[in-house]
Order: sequence, then C-alpha cells, then structure tokens
Amino acid sequence: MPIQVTDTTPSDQLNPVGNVVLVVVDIQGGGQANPFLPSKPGQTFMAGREERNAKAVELVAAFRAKNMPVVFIQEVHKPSLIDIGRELDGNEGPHCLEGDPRTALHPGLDPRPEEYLIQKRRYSAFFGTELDIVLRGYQAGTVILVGGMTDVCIHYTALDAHQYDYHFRTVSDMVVGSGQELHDAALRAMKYLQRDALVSSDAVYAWLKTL
Amino acid sequence: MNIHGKTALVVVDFQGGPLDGPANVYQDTQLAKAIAMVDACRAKGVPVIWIQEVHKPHLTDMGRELDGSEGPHCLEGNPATEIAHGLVPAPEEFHIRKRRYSSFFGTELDIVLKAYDVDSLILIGGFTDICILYTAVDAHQRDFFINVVTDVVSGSSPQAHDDALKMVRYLQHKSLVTAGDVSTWLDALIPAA
Repeated sequence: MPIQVTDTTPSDQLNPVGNVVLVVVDIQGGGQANPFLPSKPGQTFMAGREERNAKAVELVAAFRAKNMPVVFIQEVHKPSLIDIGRELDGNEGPHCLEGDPRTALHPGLDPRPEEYLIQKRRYSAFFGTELDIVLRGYQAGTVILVGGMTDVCIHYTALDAHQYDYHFRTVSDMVVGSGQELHDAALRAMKYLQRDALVSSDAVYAWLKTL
Repeated sequence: MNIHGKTALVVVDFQGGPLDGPANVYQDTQLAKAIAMVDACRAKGVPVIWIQEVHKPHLTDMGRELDGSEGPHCLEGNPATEIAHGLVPAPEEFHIRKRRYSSFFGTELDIVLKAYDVDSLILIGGFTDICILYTAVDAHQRDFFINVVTDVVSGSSPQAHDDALKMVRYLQHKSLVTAGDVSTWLDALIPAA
C-alpha cells in the first residue's frame, strides 16, 4: 500500500527543480467586503482571505523585484451561466460572473502588460486554457501555487501540473479552502502526489533571497 | 442515481490480476459486485469501458508519480498489472490504457464517450482518492454526470478514501451511489433496441 499522508506541516525549504513560475489562482473579490459568503444551504466557509490576499500582493511584488514570472488565473462565467457546466450540481452556487465587481482580481494583483492573465471556466487552471503553453514558454520546472480554493481550483490545478510532469509547491499559509475539513483533506491529497508539495511562504521568501 | 441521458460504466484500474498479493486492495465481495455489475450493464445495453493503468518497466512514462506516496506500479508484463481475474473486457468493448491518474489524461476516453453519446458515468475501481477522484473531476469538468459506487471503490487508505468521497460529493451532490442503487436502476432500465 502507498504511504498514507497524515502530516501536512509545510516545509521551510522550497527545493525547486528547474525554472520557477508563481501561479496566482483565483484571488478575486475586487476588494469588495465579504465577497464570498455561502450561497447554498450546507455550504461551508473558511476565513482567512483578507490576510491571504495581502500576502499575495506582497509575494507578487517580491517576484517582480527579482524579475521572476507571475501568471494570474481568474475564474469567470457568463451571467447567462451557459458555461457553468456541472458547477451548480454540488456545493457551489453561481459564482465569478463577468461584470460583477466581486469577479475582479484583488486590488494590487493587477497583471502587468508583460504578464499573462488567464481566464478559465472550469476548476483546473489547465482545463481549456493556455496555461501549459505559457509554462512551456517560461521553461518552467516548478510552479508555485497560491490562492483558492485549496480543495477545488488549487487541488485540481496541482493535479494537472503533476500530470503534465511539473513539480508543484502549494504555499499552505497562502491558500484558503471551501471549509477547514476539505482544506485539510486537499493538503493531504497534494502531498500524496508530491511529497515536497507543501511549503510555507517563508520558504518562498528564503529562496527568493538567494536569487 | 445521478443519471441524465445515456450512461456508461467505466471500470477504472480494477487491477491486480489474481488479487492475491500484499498489494491487493480489492475485497472478494467488491470483485463479485463488479462482475455482476458488468454483466447486468451488458444485458441492458449499457456500454462498459475498461481503463487500465500501465507503465513501461523502464519508467520513462512515469512522470512525477514517484515523487509522492507511490512506488513503481502497474508495470507492463507484471501479472498484478492485469485487470482483476474474473473481469474480462469483451472484444467489442473499449479497453483504454493510461499512464497518468485521470482516465481522460492523454487517452481516447472523451472520444469514446462521445461515440456512445453518453451524459452520465458510473465509476468503479480504484484508488478512490486517486484515479477515481481525478477521473470524476475531469468528467465533471467535461460536463458529465458522475456516479461513484462507494462500495465498489477502494482507496489508498481509509482516510484518503473518505476524503475523496467528500470531494466527489462537493462536485455533484447526487454523485455517491451504491451497487444496490445501480442494480435497482438497471432492473428498471428498458434494454436498448
């Protein structure tokens, strides 16, 4: 039997392989107050977005200061919901509607002209998008994931990165889940895929300093 | 059941050949349920699709699968890589080999499902938390309705199995079913002409 993951303590060492790209996944809300409150009965909620968002702005600035690539991912759906797929069949209600101020990226995370902003209509940032082409362009070996939600878009983006043979590092103090239980479960699942997957933001800064 | 339109049964990595080694994860009762479900689907004209994970012994196609909890697995030529004895793909059924976790990744599964014109999938096999979950996620992202048969899937650990079922339910609330539910649904199904 494979080894069961029980410890999700993040590593304080990034240990990247090859070139590194920071992928900022679905840090949205447009600076609105409480943009993502539960919209369906039984839907859970996990606090921590405000703190995470502020840390993401700092981390993006630190990457830019070192001329390191940052890719921004934004989930969007048409208000007609024609592109929502099966996403209303589970825990989530309508979300990330185009034109809704809450769908905008968090203020301070505005992509620069030379950076990629990739809009997606499914959970994985690779699904139906140019992300793999963009990462190949950067000759990425390792992607660093921050954003949300841990158990949905982070987990399933990590999965596809894994299946495309990238090393991935999820910054566990910079991801927020749909609830604590599934957040924890997704951290275990990602560490099952790659034993070095979970790192702290301190690990990323320590690595940036060496550049 | 979470059925809309036509349905296919997808048997994911129900491997292990004789199911006699220490690495076997399937109980005899699960094998018996799988065999009965395959037979019942065939009798009602529900297409059965077989997925088998394989890797070359030289591991060139292993990707990052050795970077986590798993060691080398599903090596071509190893008896334990065979589909569990008792489960036999028929010549007219698709038997799809894959080299990653999701059954959609780098395979013809999406084409085959289009050919059958199905909207709903019944998933059995393993691991619950790896190839079942990640096949379910890709099916979800491709707009299929998912039915994971909770008593005919096996996880890499009990905890990971439980975690994965919660994740599948997050995607589609009606997605967790039992072999009994499938049997009842099949009994009521009028065979395809």
